[in-house]
Amino acid sequence: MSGSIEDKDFEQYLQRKSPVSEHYHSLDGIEPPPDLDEKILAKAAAEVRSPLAEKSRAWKKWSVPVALAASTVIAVSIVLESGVRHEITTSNAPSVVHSERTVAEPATPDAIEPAAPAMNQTPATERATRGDDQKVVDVDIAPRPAFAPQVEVPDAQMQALAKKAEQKAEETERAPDVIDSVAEERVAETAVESSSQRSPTPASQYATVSSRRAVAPPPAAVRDLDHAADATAVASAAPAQYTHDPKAWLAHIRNLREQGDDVQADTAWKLFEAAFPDFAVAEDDLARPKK
Amino acid sequence: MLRYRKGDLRAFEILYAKHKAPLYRYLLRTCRDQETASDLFQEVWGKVIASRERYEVRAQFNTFLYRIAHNCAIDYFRRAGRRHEGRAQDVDDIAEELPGAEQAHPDVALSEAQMKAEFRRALDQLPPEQRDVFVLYEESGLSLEEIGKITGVAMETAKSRLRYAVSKLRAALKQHQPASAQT
Repeated sequence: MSGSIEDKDFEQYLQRKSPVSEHYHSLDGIEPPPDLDEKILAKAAAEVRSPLAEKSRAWKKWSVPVALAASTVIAVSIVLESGVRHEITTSNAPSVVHSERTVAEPATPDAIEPAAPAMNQTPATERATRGDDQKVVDVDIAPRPAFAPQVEVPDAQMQALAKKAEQKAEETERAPDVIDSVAEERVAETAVESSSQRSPTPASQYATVSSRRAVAPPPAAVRDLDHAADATAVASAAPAQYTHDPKAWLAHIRNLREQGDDVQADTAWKLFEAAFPDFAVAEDDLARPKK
Repeated sequence: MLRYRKGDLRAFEILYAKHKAPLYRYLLRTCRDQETASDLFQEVWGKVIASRERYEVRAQFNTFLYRIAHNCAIDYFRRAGRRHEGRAQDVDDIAEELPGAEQAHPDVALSEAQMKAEFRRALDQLPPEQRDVFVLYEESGLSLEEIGKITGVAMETAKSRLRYAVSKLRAALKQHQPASAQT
């Protein structure tokens, strides 16, 4: 019975309606001494005004904007960096050079032009067997320097070169052992066909294209020939894509010979010799004129 | 406290004005010595001020404040090596509490003073754990669950301690009431 009364009293106490609570709070109104109040409030004020607290608040205030700014700078630098790399890659994109090579005929070690180390690491060669003649079409990505110096030829120099090329062409016409008029017409026709089918960029436009792609200028002899008046014939005999790749050019000449087009092959051979006088070609190479 | 953390001193002053008296009473009732209570009171508020930078709202400020106070008191008793036994309030103290001659009914006043003295004595004689829970419950206004967390015991244990404390104080009051009724 007394237990239940105590329970009831305790529940009453928990509801803060008990005389025990009233008596406790009526004991005295004790307060901390005023000097203690002053000390504590002074300490609180000093803490707020301390330089360390100011520094901490300033850091908290600026932490978010600083973090945002830093993130933005990093993001922009990454974007710019990747953009520059993309641009370099684009400008460094190689032009596709077609060459043909007989499988049975191994290339002589002297004739192999050393490729750039970077391109050797990532060869992009596609091979496709072409029919019964056991030929392999190599699609080589010729290495190009990323930033080749652009040679700007003044107009006067260009005209001089053009005249020189015209004179050379006239001399070639006059030469008895070179091309007769019929053959010349044929060369011209072939040149027109081949230029329209195979070479989207004629040799005469080489300077423009090359400057746009920022590739190395062709050898001087080829440049002279490129500016010749009858550039169409030259274009067929020496397509623009071969003027930088003697190996591919030799393969082209061999192909002409195999097709029975000796006249154009001879013309191409002469142009090749003029362009690459020091390039080693085997004596029994098919590209050489038949004796 | 959050406003004070941001540098608003006025917010701290409000907070201090609201909690200073209950906290001081809690410390005084716990250690039963005014000087010690003042030291502990200063220590507690010093810790509150020092922790303002890392203060986070996880519970009521009351819980935060009385947890610090409880820990400070425990540390003090540990440092002292024994429970600080405050001096028992004697008859002179009761006399100080008596009202002046202008009191209309001196008998009633005397009876009230005696009752207060009796109640205070009963409070001081409570076991420390029970007194701690009772004073916390009365001064902080926290729930039994929160008091259990502060004192490091289960809620049922805190409730049991409180029940014993209340029972003893009620008994002290009942002892005095018949005497006062007789007079």
